[in-house]
Amino acid sequence: MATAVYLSNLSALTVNGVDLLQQVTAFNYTKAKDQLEATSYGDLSRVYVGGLFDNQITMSLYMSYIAGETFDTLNPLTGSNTTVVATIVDGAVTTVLTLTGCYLPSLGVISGSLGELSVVDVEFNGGTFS
Amino acid sequence: MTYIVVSHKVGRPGDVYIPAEGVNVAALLDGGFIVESTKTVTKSAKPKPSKTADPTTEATQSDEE
Repeated sequence: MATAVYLSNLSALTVNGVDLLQQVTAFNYTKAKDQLEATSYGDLSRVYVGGLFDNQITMSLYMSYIAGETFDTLNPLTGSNTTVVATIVDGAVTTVLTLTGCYLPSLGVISGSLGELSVVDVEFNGGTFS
Repeated sequence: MTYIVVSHKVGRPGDVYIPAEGVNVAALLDGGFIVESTKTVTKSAKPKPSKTADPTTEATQSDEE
């Protein structure tokens, strides 16, 4: 039985062209398409067809307010569109995932608990997957 | 408009920044990652072929023909 095990890891991550690999601790990239119901009389079960793509990236980043770090990168992007590029290396295979024109709706400016490193969770919605 | 890299997070500081597709340049300017350059970038002049090419070589070749 052939088994391939992939240890979740990124080899590169840029948000709006800025390297944030040193800050990211969790990353999820979901390619999705709207589910539109197309059931009609005569059908014995529900029927769905694909609609528009509705991709999403979520990530957790260590918050840092010094120049050129997390806050400086994300703060000007809030409420606008950008591009996120993630590179995954699994053995000899390199996969580059690009989400162009995705939207950052919000940014937790301060997030943290006593005695813990400040981590901010952000999501990028929409955009074109390639 | 030309942009210059300031932060190593987007390139080598001092280099001309060429934004990739989909990059929000205004956000990079706001974040201080790049700055606008007032200088216009001109194409580097192509090296002109040397006028002092070795004529003996051509002569030799033509002689062989």
